[in-house]
Amino acid sequence: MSTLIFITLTGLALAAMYFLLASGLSLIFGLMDVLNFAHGAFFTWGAYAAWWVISMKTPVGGNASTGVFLFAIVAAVVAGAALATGTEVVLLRPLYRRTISQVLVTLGAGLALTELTAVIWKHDAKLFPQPRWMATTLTIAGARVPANRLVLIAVAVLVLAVMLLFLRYTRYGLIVRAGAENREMVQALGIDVNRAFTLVFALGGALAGLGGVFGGAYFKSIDPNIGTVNLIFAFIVVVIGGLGSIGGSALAAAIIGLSQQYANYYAAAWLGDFVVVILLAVVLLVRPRGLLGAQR
Amino acid sequence: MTRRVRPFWPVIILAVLLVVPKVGVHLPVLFDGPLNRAGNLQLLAVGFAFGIAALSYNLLFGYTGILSFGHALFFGAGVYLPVIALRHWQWSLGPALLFTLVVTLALAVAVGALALRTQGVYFAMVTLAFAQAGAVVVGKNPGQLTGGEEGLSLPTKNLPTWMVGVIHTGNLYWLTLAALIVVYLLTLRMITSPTGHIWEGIRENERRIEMVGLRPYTYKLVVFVISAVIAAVAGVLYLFLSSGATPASVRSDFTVALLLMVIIGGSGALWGPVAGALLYHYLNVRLTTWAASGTVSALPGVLSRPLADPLFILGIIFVLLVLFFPRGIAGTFVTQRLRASRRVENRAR
Amino acid sequence: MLRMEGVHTYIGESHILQGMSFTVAPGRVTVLLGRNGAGKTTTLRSILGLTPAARGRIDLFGAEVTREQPYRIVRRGVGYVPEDRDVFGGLTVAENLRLAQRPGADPARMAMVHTLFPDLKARGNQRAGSLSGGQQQMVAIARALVNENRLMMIDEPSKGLAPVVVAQVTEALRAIKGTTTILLVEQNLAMAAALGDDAVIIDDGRTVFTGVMAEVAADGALQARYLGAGRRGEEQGQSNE
Repeated sequence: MSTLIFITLTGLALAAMYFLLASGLSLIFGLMDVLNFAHGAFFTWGAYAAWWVISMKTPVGGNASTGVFLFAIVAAVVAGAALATGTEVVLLRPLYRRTISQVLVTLGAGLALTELTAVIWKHDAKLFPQPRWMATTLTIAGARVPANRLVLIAVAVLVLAVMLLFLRYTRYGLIVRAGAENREMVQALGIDVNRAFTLVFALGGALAGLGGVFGGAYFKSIDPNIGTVNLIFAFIVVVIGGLGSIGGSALAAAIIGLSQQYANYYAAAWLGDFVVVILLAVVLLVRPRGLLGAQR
Repeated sequence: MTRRVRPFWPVIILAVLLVVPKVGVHLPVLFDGPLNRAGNLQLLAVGFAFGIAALSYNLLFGYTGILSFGHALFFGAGVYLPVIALRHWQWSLGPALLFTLVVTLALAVAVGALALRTQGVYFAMVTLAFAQAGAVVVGKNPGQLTGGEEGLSLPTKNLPTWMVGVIHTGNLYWLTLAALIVVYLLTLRMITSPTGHIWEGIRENERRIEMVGLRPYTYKLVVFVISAVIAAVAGVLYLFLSSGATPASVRSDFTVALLLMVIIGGSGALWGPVAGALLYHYLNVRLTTWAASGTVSALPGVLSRPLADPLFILGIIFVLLVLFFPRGIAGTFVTQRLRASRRVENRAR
Repeated sequence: MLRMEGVHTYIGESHILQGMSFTVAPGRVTVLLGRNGAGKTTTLRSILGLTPAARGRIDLFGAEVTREQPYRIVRRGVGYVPEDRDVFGGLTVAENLRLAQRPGADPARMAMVHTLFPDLKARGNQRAGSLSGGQQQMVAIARALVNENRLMMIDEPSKGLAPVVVAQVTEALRAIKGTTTILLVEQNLAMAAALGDDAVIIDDGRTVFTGVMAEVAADGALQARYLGAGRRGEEQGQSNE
């Protein structure tokens, strides 16, 4: 029983990380039809920005203070948002209406930005210090669970709630939802849709950066490929959940994270990733637009 | 179909490429040592193998407009399946190649049939997921079959002697060049056939193809499978050239590399992807060599470290190409003519 | 008010508008007629900048807008009711209207819209996608009315609607006629005749007739020559290229 709880919470923490990446991807795709391959790089940069801040103020092998960690979160969010805004304004805007070229340019940008972290900080993994209380294990119904997993889950739930409120009750939320349905008509109502593009990119980048910090805490170490590895699962989450649907992303992230962990633990260590692909195939056969996507 | 007068220079290039293994000329900076040194022949021959893979990718992406992120799966099948059969099951070369062909066909039909139920980016992501599954299996080494991260070396026992050893690199060079020419001509034949025109029609406007009563799904599945098999052929040649299989050839990074080759070369002409593949592979190998050389490592760290990272450079090149030269090398030559002829066709309709 | 001069527009490689020229006079309803594929929708989209003109010149309210971004053109005071209505199906009726309200719009306009379409007020919280075709058309028209626009461009408001609903839509448009300038694309000659003051007929992307609507309504030969095919396509729910 305690094992089940442990595996479940680990799976949900993984799901939370996927969600932080997938929600931004899903919003960006919903509004702009762009599959953002640079999203993993934003995650990686969030992780490295946080690590850089923490390692300046933390003795080697020690724990980070909570204050420094909070500051690291801010740094990661800013790094993610800034890179994403730059990518949108500099690289995507000139390619407006050329979706394939936009996808390709994000692919190139993702490659270059990811490699840039390797150029600056080398390819080898870095230990990621976190506050002592986050690294300690709590006992929940007999299961010993690291606190950082619970924090990660809480952050994702909070992000989900804020996103849903933003989409429902703000004018920009309205523009994003309408733009996902029919971008051209939004323009024809006199709305500058480019500003909405930049906004969703910045938001998505910020969330990816946030994911990067907690990803570092979850894995306890980071390397330049941390974002790319998670990006593939985030893509799968977005497709299963339905492109453009935040609720769908949350649901799919939970399904993916849990089945990955269950399969890895109860079957074979490599089966988790395989189960995910099979799930993807099944969902596409039954509901080609994803679980909660608009079934056009 | 009117027969166009072929320009003279492809024949010259071909003749030059054919005699390369016999020519000991030195081309300083461009190549280390005499041109026909085994290392240089291998560099070129791997470029040809990538050229075949890029041709197959261009058939999907450039001609039919299908953006797949799973092409490495089939290249990887061509790399791994023969070596598994040769090494673990002690098969001889013929059966091993037949086995590779059959499994690749089955895999391509299965993946294609499923993935093509989706379109556009969905398709891209689904193929990415399948390729990822393939990469995971190879990496995790189930039943000691794939050798995991180490990969597998090619056993020489069951191979014909003309293929084995550094002194025979020239033979592999010719083999790969011949394969490239065959695939090139085959692709040319396909894209000028009625089916080829339908592929192009699917890229331009899939609904219009539906409206004339054709089923795009079938045509897309056919091009997907053909392209997968050609990619596997490239994989087999790559296996011979590098005397072993490594997981890098199944990873999605390789699909990205193929995409890059097609973008560099441009899909406006059939030779574009081949040129792109050669240039890509050449740069990838030579950039690393140059970076290790005195001139670059003497530069301050701010410059030398990015220059020493081929992936970083290629990423930047990729972005610049998409932004400023979206039609690649070939496009710069061919676009104008293509445009003009299309305008005329439209008038006629 | 609106003036198009020698406008050429391409969609992909297809040459749709091949030198369109016409003007819309202030305060009047100008009907744009022509058979399917003549380029009526493309004309409206070129004015809005959604399918920008490749050559030629478009003047709106005395300023050139040929290369302007769509949202800027709209903010000059253009209301657009697209073909197929294009309401945001996932948004509620109220959200559709709120989205359309440009910053600084007079709140009294919203009240006016609610008086004109009481049905929409009652269904404010209903998803627009769940409305009937006629109701969606009302939403689409209302979206253009919540701002004080100097020009309204309405693309085939009768398309795909039952005759009784067409009558309702005609009534709604008659109510706003005179308050603003209207450029109307309409295949339904009865509706066009009921609302139109001026008429412009286009064929193969060129203007072939300009005059008053009454003249077109009376001239059977003119109709047969330029509008014949359109009447057949009407039932099948065609689409303009």
